[in-house]
Amino acid sequence: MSLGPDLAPRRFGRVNWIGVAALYRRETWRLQKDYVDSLLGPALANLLFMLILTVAAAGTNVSAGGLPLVDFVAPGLIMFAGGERAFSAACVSLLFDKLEGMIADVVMAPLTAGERLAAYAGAATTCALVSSAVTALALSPFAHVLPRHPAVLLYFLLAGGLFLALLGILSGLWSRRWDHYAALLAYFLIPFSYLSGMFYGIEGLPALARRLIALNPLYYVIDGLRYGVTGVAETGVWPGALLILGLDLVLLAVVYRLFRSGWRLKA
Amino acid sequence: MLPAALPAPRRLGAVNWLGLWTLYLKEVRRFAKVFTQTLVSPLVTTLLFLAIFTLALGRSLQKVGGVGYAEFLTPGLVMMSMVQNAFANTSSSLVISKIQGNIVDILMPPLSPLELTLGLAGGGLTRGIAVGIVSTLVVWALLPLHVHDWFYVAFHAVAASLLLSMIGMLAGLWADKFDQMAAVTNFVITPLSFLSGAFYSTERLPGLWRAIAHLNPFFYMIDGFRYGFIGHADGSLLAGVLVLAGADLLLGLLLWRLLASGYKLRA
Repeated sequence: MSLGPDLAPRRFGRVNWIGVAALYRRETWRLQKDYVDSLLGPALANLLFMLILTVAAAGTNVSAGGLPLVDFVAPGLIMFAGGERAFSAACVSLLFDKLEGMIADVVMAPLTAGERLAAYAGAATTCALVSSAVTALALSPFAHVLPRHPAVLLYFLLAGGLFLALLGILSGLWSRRWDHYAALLAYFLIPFSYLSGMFYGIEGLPALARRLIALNPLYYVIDGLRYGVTGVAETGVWPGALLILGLDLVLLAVVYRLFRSGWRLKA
Repeated sequence: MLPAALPAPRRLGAVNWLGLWTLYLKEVRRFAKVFTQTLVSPLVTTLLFLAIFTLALGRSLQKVGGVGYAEFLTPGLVMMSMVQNAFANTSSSLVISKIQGNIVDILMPPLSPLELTLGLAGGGLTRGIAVGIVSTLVVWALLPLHVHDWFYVAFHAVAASLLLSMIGMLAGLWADKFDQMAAVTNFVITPLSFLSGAFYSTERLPGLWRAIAHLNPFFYMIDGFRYGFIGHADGSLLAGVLVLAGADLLLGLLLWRLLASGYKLRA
């Protein structure tokens, strides 16, 4: 008895493209469904930040790194909006699926570790780009957001978004409870982002603070992004670009190994 | 045949003190158990904001409201943190109980609507005050803070925490889903608290905007609380006390009637 051509097992080529696309779509769907809270909310919060800084600095000539304060801060806020979204998108999705037991749907699907990595990281990076674009639009009446060097801007948005997406995947794999996610946000992601020299130039800071900020990779991402937007940077753009590329590659390798081993996914 | 000694039903006086105390303790233990999320994490946020704004603006702004910028900023940040946490306590308690169904645990016991209002609002008030005390003490260790007038510090701390605790109850009664709660936080509570004059003196604003800023109830909370520390107020202190006391009273009455009617609680 033959099952007929329609019921034969699916044949995959080298890459299960349909599977990758389906997982990618599923992972970006949440952003579309919940755009009010996940896109507009953060954009509004960043806009408020901008308004506060503008009002508080009005009448003085507060500047940072040779730029008016608002222009200095805007690229950091754009990066933060995207990075926070990428981190949360990846982390929340994995943790939620693990807690609800739905992770089996991903683990059982005929996807290799590389395909899973591509879909999760790609989807979270997409969320980062969308969120950055929405925030840039919200900030555009107040600050200079039209890029001087669009290619540099795009590179840092992608590389920085991917960096936080991978950290988000790592955190989602590691977390076992919502408390863990809340703690990662409050004690790691937010301090890590806020203390990256996003709001103030490093010249004139105490030596210790400068040294600490120089250890923060996000400092170079934000600085590169600022160069892309305004044409002014505090450090060299190339070392920053290479640093973030190197970190992305290392994290990609780590997350790939973890997906392959099934760490905290397959009991 | 009846058992010989059937326990007699408990007799309640005019007020079910034991029930009220139990409900209050439940609300307090709920946040005390996860103090890293409910006390330490707001403290970290306050310290981060303080660091960011002092580093970005403190070097350029000479004096705000007659004191250094950090000293001006601290009471506003502490108050923001207090009210956001008071709001979060009651709103999340009610929404989670409604969604998980354990809301019957507070509806079935012999608690009158007034006792319910007091017990729940008391929990939020306690969280607000606890966050305020922890944050103030830690900042005090880092910066010189002076108290100009204890009455205004204490009155505004209690009246504002209570007000937001009750607004949180109102939002928690109304919301059926977490999304709605997140929307209230993102689009009402955060903007009102950011634009409250915590970060700048409203004397900086042009006429019309200053009038609008003075319509924001959060302005009075922060202005009066800050007066208690620095001895300088942007608006009228008497108006602030009356607005807060009046709003607390009205909202308390409203909640009492809503709980008596069973709005969104008893189908």
